[in-house]
Amino acid sequence: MIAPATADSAFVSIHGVSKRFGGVTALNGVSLDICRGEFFSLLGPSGCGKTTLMRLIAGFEDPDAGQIAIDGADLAGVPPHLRSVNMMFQSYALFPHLSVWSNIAFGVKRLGLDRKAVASRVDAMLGLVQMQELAKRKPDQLSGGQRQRVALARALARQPKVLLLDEPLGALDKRLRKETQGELKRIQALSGTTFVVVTHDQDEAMALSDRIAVMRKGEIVQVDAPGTLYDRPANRYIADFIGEMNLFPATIAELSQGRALVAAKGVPGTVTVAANSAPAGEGYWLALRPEHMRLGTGEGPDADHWLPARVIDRARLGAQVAYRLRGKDGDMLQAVVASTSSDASFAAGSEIVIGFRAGDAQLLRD
Amino acid sequence: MRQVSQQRDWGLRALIGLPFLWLCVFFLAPFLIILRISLSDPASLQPPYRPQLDWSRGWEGVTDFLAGLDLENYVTVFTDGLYASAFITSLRIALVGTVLTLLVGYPLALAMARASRRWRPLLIALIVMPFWTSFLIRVYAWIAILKQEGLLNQFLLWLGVITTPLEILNTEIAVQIGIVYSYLPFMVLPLYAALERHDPALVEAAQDLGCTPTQAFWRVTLPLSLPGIIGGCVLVFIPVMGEFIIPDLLGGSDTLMVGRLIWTEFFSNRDWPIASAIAIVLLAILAVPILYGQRRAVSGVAG
Repeated sequence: MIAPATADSAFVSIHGVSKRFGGVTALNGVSLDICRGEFFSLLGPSGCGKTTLMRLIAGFEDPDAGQIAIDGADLAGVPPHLRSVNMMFQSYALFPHLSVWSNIAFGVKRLGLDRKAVASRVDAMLGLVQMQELAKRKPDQLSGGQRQRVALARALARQPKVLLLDEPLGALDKRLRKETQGELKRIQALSGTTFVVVTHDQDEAMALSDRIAVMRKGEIVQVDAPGTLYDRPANRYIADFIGEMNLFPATIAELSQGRALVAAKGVPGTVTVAANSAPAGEGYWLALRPEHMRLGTGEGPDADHWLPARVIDRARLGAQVAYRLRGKDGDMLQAVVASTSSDASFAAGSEIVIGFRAGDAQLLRD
Repeated sequence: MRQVSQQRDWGLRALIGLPFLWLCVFFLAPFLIILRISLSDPASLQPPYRPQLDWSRGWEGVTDFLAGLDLENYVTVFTDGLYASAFITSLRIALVGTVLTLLVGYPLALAMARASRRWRPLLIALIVMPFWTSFLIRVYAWIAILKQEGLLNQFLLWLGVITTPLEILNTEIAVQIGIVYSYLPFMVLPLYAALERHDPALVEAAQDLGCTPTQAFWRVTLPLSLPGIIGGCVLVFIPVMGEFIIPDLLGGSDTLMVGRLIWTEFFSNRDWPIASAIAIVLLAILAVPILYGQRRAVSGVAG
């Protein structure tokens, strides 16, 4: 067997892809590599181009510029029915005139297998999504969760190299979503198929993905593992989009040996943070996760910098307590502390101080 | 409480009862009159059939009347070759016409359903627009188009496609052209309604699962539009079976359809009983597609 021309790090290779609809740029020079067997998410708000990118991979749209290749084979000009890519549609798009069994068999029958092979493949798929008992039902006799499983089985039945999932959990209620997340992970591991998920739900992407590409306005902002996106966001947009972040407008006063002396609005004194090759000047943000904030009645040794604040409200979230506070300049701040800690008991309206360690602070650009 | 619900009950009954009454007076009663005439014998009287019910003779009048009724006209309808051939011609023309209308209407309806949402109301308006003019006038206009020195022949001669004018008017082809033209909206609207309802992602899903666009049409689009096809065909087939104006104006003397036959028997031959018998047989034939269409419609609503 001839080895594929590209390394596994670029099983799906997207290079310089652009797409315009009329006067609107949906994708602007997107480049992206997805590994074999990876659970990859395209994350972003609606209109960021993630759905367009998925439709380009499926072949429903043609790129205006750039190349898409899967396993080393360029897909330019290949119609959807000849691509080894399958899609699970957001609406599921189950054929209403066909039974569950026939829906799953629909794509398998077009592979040129004999009748027995088709039947055994369909039965295996029904087993994978645990739908054997409902094989004779029509889609309108199924619940939302069951339809989702049929759609997944139908898309996987052709054993595609890449499975595209358009908002796979979007149509399910919250409880079912949690359950289905685990189910998706299980099936992905079992089938070994490369999953590319399009979602606007950052929690979903964080819980499911090996890596996430965060998109904005037709461009990719950052591609990283969920933990890296959270701990080391590339800029303010990512920091804001993934989780919560306290942000102070900041100016670099001095740069030396990978360290920046930063003056941040609302923070007394200057803060020393790690910064590589950032030009001095304005347009920065000093960023702190809520769980890195410390609370106290007076400045103490557990933080390097303290600022006065008033508690707006306090919410108990299971093992944690979430505070919303207002700083001296009227800016909103958030803090999350363990409910067992002594910081957890400040009442709304208390005048306290909120602090952080310099080592927890990050310097971000817009 | 009980009183209120009873009042509501009566209101509901009145709401259903009124149209029911309307149908009884204007459909069932005429039907019974026609049925009674079809069992009578022709006569040069006023009205031109016997027996007449003579109430003044009491019970004897009623029995005499009933004794005078017979199935003779139906025997004639089924045994006289002229009537049988008119029924066969009508069936053939209606079947061919329905299929032709479907073949012309389906691509039209599909294009409308796939057009952008902005254009759809305009396209529907264009389909319905011919109804703004009288049906009779529109069929008449086709004479000017189809006749020997008509617009179509002039155009074809000018193009050089033909050297001698085609004889279209007064043939079955002219009748079929008239049928397709006149009944197209009745085909397109139910088809459009069936095609427009479905998620466009279904066709993409079919292609994603290995179908060429043509296969996607045969395996997904067409089966899903089946209720629309049945609805449209029933709506076209039934009126075309009894069509009178189109064969009368565009057809030749040899296109003898049932509608024209009924007209001739009623008004030229003044044989009301045989005309009524033909009408009743036509109704019996049409009951099959009507009941079928109705059952499909009911199950479509329920499902």
